[in-house]
Amino acid sequence: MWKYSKKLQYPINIKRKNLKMAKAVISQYGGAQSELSAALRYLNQRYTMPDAKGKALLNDIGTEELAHVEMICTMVYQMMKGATPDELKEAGLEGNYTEHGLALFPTDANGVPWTSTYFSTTGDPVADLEEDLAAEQKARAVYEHLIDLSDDPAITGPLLWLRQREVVHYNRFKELSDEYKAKYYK
Amino acid sequence: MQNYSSYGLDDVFMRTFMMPAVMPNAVNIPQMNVQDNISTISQNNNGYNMMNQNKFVNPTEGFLRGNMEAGTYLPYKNMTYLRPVINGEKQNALYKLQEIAFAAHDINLYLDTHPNDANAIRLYNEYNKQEKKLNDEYERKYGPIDLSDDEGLNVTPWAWIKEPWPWNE
Repeated sequence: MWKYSKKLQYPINIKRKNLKMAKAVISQYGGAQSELSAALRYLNQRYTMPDAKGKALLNDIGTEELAHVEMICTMVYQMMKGATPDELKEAGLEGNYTEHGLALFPTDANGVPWTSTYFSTTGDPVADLEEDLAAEQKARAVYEHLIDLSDDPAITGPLLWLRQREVVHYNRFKELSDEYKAKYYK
Repeated sequence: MQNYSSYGLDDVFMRTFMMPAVMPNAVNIPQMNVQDNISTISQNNNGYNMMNQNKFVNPTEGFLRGNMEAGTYLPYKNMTYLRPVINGEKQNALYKLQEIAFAAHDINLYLDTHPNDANAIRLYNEYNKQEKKLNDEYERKYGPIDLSDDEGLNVTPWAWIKEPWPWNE
């Protein structure tokens, strides 16, 4: 089971409305390389990991990804807070407003809703871990694109921090992946 | 209990900007080229953390980076990290809690793939203990963070529902 802790993993304090960035950052909630995809990828793959070490790592990183989902949602919520229909229209968010108002909903930066086809499980630990390594790299690349687009340090800071988590997760998955390859691909 | 009402200016002085913590390095920094800030926890007189001083940075630096492991920090372009602007005692108490919770968590991930590293296990337990202490202190002053804790929940009205929720912090 999970326990909710009433705090963010890293502080988010965005005071300036920023609809253009909200439209971009939502990608890490509901896009292909999103934190939501990551959480569900690892939490589904953990059951069929071949040893306790693999189950633990997929479980613990999958759990952290849920905290990242909350951070991204908080960023989008704060960037959109108090936006008027005119401002939303100007930022190209009239479709999003029509469907969701100012509520959160997992889509990519183009408004395409999240789908479970963004990740896979094969039941083969080596194959699953190769996907996980690629997923961390692709999420890192998306964070870098978002950092390039950001015009507010209160947004850039958390994006840099989340990007670094992709680096750390990659390193941990790599250690597990190398071990499994040596073990199962003799 | 300390009177914290005199620190009630948090919201008034809440800034929307962050200060750069580190000057830009050269462009195209190769991986592993960052001078790591070695853990200051080795200053404690138990001695056991000395063994880990090349493995992890201290929680303050690690939390800013988002990476506790020495030698693996990978900055983007000419950027390293931004230091969140923290104002007032309440924000600072939360930040210190997030910091130590992160240090423990990142070592937890490390231990998942290095389960025989006894020194890292001792470090995890030390940070975990500090986290519990800071968590209790925060809850006593500002309200509950975890429903399973003793602190802050034995009051009427039910304190769990109280603002701020994390997205309104």
